[in-house]
Amino acid sequence: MTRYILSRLLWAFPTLFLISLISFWISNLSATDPLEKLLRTDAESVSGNTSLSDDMRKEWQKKLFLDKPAFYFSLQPLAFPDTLHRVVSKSERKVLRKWLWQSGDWPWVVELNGLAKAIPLDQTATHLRRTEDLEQIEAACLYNAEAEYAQAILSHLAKNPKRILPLCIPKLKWHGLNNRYHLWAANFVRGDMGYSLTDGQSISKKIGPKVKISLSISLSAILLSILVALPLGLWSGYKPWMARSRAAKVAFIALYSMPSFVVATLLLFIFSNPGVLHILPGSGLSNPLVYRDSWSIFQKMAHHLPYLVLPIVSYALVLIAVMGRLVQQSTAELQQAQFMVTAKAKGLPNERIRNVHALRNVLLPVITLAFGMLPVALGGSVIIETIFSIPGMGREIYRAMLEQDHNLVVAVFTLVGALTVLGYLLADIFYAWADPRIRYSEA
Amino acid sequence: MRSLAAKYPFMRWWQTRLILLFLALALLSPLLSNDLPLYAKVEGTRLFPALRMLWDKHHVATIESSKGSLDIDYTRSDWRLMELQAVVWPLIPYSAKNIDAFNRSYKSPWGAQTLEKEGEKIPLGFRLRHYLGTDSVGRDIAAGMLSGLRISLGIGFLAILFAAAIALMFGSLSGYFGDYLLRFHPSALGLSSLLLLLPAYTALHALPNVLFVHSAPLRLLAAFFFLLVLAWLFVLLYRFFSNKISSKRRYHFPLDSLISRFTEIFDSLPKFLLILTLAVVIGRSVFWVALVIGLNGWASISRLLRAEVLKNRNMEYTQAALSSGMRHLRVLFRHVVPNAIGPFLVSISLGIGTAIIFESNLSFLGLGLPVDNVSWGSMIYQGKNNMSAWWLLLFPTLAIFTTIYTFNSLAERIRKND
Repeated sequence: MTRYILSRLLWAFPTLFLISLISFWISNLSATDPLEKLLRTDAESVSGNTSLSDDMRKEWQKKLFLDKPAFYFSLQPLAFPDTLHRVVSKSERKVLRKWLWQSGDWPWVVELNGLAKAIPLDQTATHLRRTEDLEQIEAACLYNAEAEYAQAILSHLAKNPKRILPLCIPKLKWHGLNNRYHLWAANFVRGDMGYSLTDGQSISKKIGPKVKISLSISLSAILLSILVALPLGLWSGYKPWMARSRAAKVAFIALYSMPSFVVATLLLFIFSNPGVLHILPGSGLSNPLVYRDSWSIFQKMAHHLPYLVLPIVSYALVLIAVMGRLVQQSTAELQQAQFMVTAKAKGLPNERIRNVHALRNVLLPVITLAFGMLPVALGGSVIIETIFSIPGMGREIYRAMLEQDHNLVVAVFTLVGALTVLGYLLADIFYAWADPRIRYSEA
Repeated sequence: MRSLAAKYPFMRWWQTRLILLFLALALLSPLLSNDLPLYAKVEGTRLFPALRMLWDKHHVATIESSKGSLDIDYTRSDWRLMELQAVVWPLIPYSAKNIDAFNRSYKSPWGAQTLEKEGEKIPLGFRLRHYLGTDSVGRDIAAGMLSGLRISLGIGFLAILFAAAIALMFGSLSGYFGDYLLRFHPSALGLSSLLLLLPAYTALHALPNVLFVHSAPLRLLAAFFFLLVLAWLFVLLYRFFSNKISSKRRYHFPLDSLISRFTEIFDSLPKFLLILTLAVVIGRSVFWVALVIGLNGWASISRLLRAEVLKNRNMEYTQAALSSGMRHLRVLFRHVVPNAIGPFLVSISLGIGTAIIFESNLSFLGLGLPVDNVSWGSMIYQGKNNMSAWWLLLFPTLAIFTTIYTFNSLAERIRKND
């Protein structure tokens, strides 16, 4: 048992590493420049001024570790400089890289960048600074060839060395621990998830209260679905040849075929629609006109309850479909098991066989499923929370995605991923606890 | 059809027939729903606008008549307002993306629908009505249903293609070869990989970038092609070295453990969040959305296939084939995999349903394909915001449900038949 748990624990580390790598890779993949994004909103909110001060730039560059190399090592062509990460702007870095791929000579690219930056601001050709294709630059310069900047760039383009060899030979450079990924991951382990790109606030502080809301909604949905699906699955799967079990099977598959947003929208249409029935509120968590902070906890709960019914039920319905079908299937498969036949031969009543012998075996897949859902519970259901406008994690992630707040998305992704690993680990331990066969074979 | 059904019993299942019907509808949708007529006669000239648009998106027809020459820009003109001597409209005389300016803001299927001709409003004739109503900007819902079908099936099948390809490779190899069947020659392996390190970098990173600086899909394709070349080179080198080196030491190659651990790690990623994030960062076209969804779905299929191959691998017919001198890969792909295909097909059928659910979730949130694409999810989103327009909720909901239910029930049917 201990060895089993230890080996599972050991395997959690590469998974965690991979999850953090994937999140980091995603945040680097996006085209948005974190600094630009952050400072624009920051400057606007502070003074209504969109110009970026150099001091603020430097400060945030430090805070987000953007002045450090991206990873422990870099593997890039010989022609690429080691110091490319020090170029502040992400779009500029991208253009420089593309130019390098087309010339293979760093000093030449630096000179071209200088010439492009020297294009006077009153000219229409300032976009050439961000034009990746050298041929396009040449064409644009030929178009107004009499301009001074165009002649300079054209003569420089004519000198393009076009070295292929230094592009094909790799160069491995070790950066040490002082890199962006390491600092980010180390901070993450300590509980500091970095800063949101929309308002520069600490992400940990920002998502704290939202986690509570999502957690309570999802956990009650999971609990509700277990309470419904387990008896329903057992009851319908125990005698698989009966009409009721066939009907339940079709019902489970039908429910399984509905995306969660369809279920939620239909519930909204029926129960929160002046045209049909208007008995439950359709959005939010409380009525700000009535709600008082001074209320006792029971008053608060009574106030929140009607708002929570639809989200919890629509969330649970989707889970019931998955879980109920699973329980039903495994119960039906149990019928041939020898211990079931023995129990029947002993003359035990059907209820006892079903509720004791079958239940214990059926519990196993349910445990896996429920623990697998725990992290989702924290991440909140994006769909459900968006539909019912619940200010939880799911809606926060959705907002972050629309506003390209990649730092927050990546932080939540990593957190949820880490919890998934933890959830599976717990499921494995519970599995061994619930099933003696696993306990004894692996110990 | 009868002979086909006799040969392939699954052609008799309603699920297969319905899916084939869906596929036909999706493939023919430009001819079934189009705001251009299939056939029109203008001033004595016969035109086939809908067909023409299939290959010539910006066609302008010039017609010589008694009144002089007349230019008809196919995309710019509203054919309903034209003087046509004869006309054959498609089944649904509207395209999904195009806006009917006269029927904006949620026209009900049986409410008043109008057309403005020379300044006066006239009711739409029965043939030109929006049979399932319109949305807020005046797009036809019936046409949107077909467009949604096309998007859903397209992404569903493409995603499962990616997932199944990866799963077929990983699952069958790890199930068949296990941890002890493959043996390797350590020094030959080390030497050949050492020799290939530099070429690998050049071929996978440098060359694609030098050749295709400006096109990401081409770079990906080039890298994949070079990867195949590298694999072939590796096999050649490994064979050469293992023949040259006389040492008899061989080690087991733990292929199954490696692949299983990798699958396990991949399986514990938070799927829906990953799909959402990737769709936002790299997605936004059918290819990328399908790739993202497919990459998320391969792990469960692979695990299932592995278990099934493992079971078949130890059966007598495999041993018989091996002892008659067949090579491993041939036994695997000619005997073992075809015998394990049932559960594989079950999970593929379920996987298409899941992919369609993911796609509709994405388009419901507005994070999938660009917003001008009409899909079921985006229509339901509109319907949710205006509950009185029940037709925006009812029809796409029914469509999503029917499609996914068909795939799930097909999976159930295969499972029962297997």
